[in-house]
Amino acid sequence: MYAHRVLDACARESLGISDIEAAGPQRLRFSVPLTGFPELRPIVRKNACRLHIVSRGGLPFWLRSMRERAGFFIGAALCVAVFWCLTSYIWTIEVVGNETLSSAQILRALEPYGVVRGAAIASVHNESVRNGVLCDLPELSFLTVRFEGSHAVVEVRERRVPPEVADDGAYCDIVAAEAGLVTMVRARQGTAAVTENMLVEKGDLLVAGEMRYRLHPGGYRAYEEYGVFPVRADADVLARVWKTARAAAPLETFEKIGTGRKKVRWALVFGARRVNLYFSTDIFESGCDIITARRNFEPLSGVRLPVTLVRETCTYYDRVASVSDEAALTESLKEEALRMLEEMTAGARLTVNNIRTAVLHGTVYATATGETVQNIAVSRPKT
Amino acid sequence: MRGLRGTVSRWFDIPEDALGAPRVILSGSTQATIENAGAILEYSPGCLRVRVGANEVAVTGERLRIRSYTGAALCVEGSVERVELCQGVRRPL
Repeated sequence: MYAHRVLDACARESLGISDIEAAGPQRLRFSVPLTGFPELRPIVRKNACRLHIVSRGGLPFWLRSMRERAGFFIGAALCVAVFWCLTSYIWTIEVVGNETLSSAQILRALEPYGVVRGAAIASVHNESVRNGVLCDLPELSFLTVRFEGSHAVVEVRERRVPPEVADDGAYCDIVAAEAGLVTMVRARQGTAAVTENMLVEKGDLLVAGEMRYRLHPGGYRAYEEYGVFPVRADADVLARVWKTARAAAPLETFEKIGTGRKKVRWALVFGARRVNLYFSTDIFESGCDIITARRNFEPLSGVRLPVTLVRETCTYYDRVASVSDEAALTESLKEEALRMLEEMTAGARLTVNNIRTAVLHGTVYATATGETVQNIAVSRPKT
Repeated sequence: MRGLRGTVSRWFDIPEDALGAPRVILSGSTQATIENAGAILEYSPGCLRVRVGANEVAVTGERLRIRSYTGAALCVEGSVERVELCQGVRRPL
């Protein structure tokens, strides 16, 4: 028995043996790949040796040993499949960039184009969605849908409508912007329709947008004919304007004082379906502040699960009535009314005529009346 | 054969080991590689004798193990103390 001859034969047959070491007199230990093992037995037998398999290693043997754990691999494969499925569909949609249009309006406009909860991400074509929604919602100037895992973010920009440019050459009249007593009329162009000391209401014609010209010169004719041609009226009309401002506040107010009692309820929201994690079906009693906190599950960056944890915290309080000092409240309301009056006159010189206070049904009212002289002329296009 | 190999090698400036001549590469004192080796004549943890053509190469040391053995080369690792080229081949054990 010559063990080393086995090595020579294996080398001639290119079996790929390696890690050969002497394990005793005429005993060798070596490694042979699985592909070369079938040819090893005849070589060993031919050289009058015996072959003992000490150990087996590698993927084929590991897979064979895992046959008894098929459930583990099936479960792992199912998890991967479920994970792939979950991330291939839209589970949450967020709208950003909208100011005047509500998110609900935009989401409703996206529905016909397949951007809904549960839709496959691969079925959403950004360009066709954009072209369709921009036609349906002319208030938008830009729209794009991007995906962060299973979370869709719809980014919009609203159209900014430029202000209407007034036609400086159009014919117009001058009308009263507010009611008042006219104190001065200075018509640079047009024909004045009011004089001083005339009372006018809001909208009354002050200066007509027309000019008269003599058709025929005077002289021996019994009358003079006048023609009229339209113009753009331009005038300043000052008038005394009276304004009234009122401020009010209740005498008795209620203050919230916490009792220290709290109640917490939990719920899970799967998509649009809510599952309460409590048994009580009662709504929260009155006399409490409810704070609702929502938390989304995002196990991986960009992978947002369609599950939201909702925590509702109810903090109970007692309403304690407190009565304000009437004199102090009255003074503060007077100041408030004066301030409101000054804001209404917008910087014009204000003369305060009267400040009255009254208490009615537990509420203090302060009324300030004042007058100011301001230009009430405003252009109105001729119809 | 050796003469013919040497003559061809000299005439055409070809290295002899490219024509099948044995080649021994010693890497430090821990590894020795024998190329174009023939059969193993003797192997034990302290000695390895390999036929190389009409001669033999003996590697002696301690804890010798053959890392790889193919038809092209034989690589032995361990604590190599001596590498000898012996003229002629002694009878294998």
